[in-house]
Amino acid sequence: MASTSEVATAQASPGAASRPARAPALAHGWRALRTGVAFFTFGLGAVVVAGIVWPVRLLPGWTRARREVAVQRVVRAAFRLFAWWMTSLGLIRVSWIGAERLRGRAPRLVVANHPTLIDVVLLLAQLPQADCIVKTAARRNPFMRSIVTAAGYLANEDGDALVDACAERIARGRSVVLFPEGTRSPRGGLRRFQRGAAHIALKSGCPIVPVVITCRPPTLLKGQPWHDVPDRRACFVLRVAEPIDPAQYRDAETTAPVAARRLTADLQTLYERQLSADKGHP
Amino acid sequence: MNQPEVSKDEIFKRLRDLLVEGFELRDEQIVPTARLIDDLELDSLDLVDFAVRLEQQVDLEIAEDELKGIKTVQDIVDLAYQKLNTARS
Repeated sequence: MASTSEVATAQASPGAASRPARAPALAHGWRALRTGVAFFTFGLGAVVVAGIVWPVRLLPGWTRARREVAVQRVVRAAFRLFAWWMTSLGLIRVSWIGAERLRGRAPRLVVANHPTLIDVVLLLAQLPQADCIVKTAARRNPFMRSIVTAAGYLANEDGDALVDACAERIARGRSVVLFPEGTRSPRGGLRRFQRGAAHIALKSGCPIVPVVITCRPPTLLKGQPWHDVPDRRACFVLRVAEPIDPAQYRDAETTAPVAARRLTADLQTLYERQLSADKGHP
Repeated sequence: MNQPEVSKDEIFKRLRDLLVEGFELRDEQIVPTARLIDDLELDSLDLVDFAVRLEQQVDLEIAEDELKGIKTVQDIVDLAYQKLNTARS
């Protein structure tokens, strides 16, 4: 994946202004074709990964947790490859800021806003181990279901049970990734955060590591068809903020629901400020 | 001898105090027609917490099925009125 410096240099390549601009319709068609190739590759990759992880369940003497982490490593490798492939196709450029906050001792509760379809790909490509929460729809596809089940990803179902399940994973030393908006963000903005992440952090005592994702120009939005491509490469910046310790929200006077509300409100403010600051940059 | 009946007004005031203290809501938000999820923004975990508080502080036990049927503050008042007064008679 591209580093920050690569982003800075690649944005203004020398001689770009003097090159004749490709006809817009042709350029659009060419980009749509490459996007189609990327989508096809993703589907094909899901079949290949499902084939690779299937025998993992048969490994003798491996605990379920060990098998799940092994499958998550395969998913991470596949997502790294896919991110590289999308970059090579000229569709995206990815830049991480503060990624070192995602390394070192787990567990951590990683939360992120969700501007595009591939946020989870970029996040999981960066994390050595991560339990993520998967929409029920992803379980309908047999290949996806096979991977999701083998990796031990959690189903996005009942709120109480999900909070308990995430806290239990964290107690076992696993990291969890979730999108507090619950679904993809609206164009250029944020939905109101749900309080699940705060409840999990307060219950488990695990710090929240916020990742603020920006994508310019916006692409792969909710409801946007794959062939509706932007006029140029989409630049992703994933900025990892200081971890938030949930302990500072709990005291003898504060009830759990109030602590969850305050923590969620602060988290939302952090994202709104960062996204607003990013909008001011070219 | 039967204990005196608890009025709906009294129940409403106790519920209002409980919601204000437990969920950092404002007094004026707690009106009989206020919807717990849409207006007071209680989520599923808050509702569970709320049921526990009702049991601990108002001695009102609400089953999971009953909790699912509750939409507004008035629904809780009615349920509490019925349960508390049945228990006293």
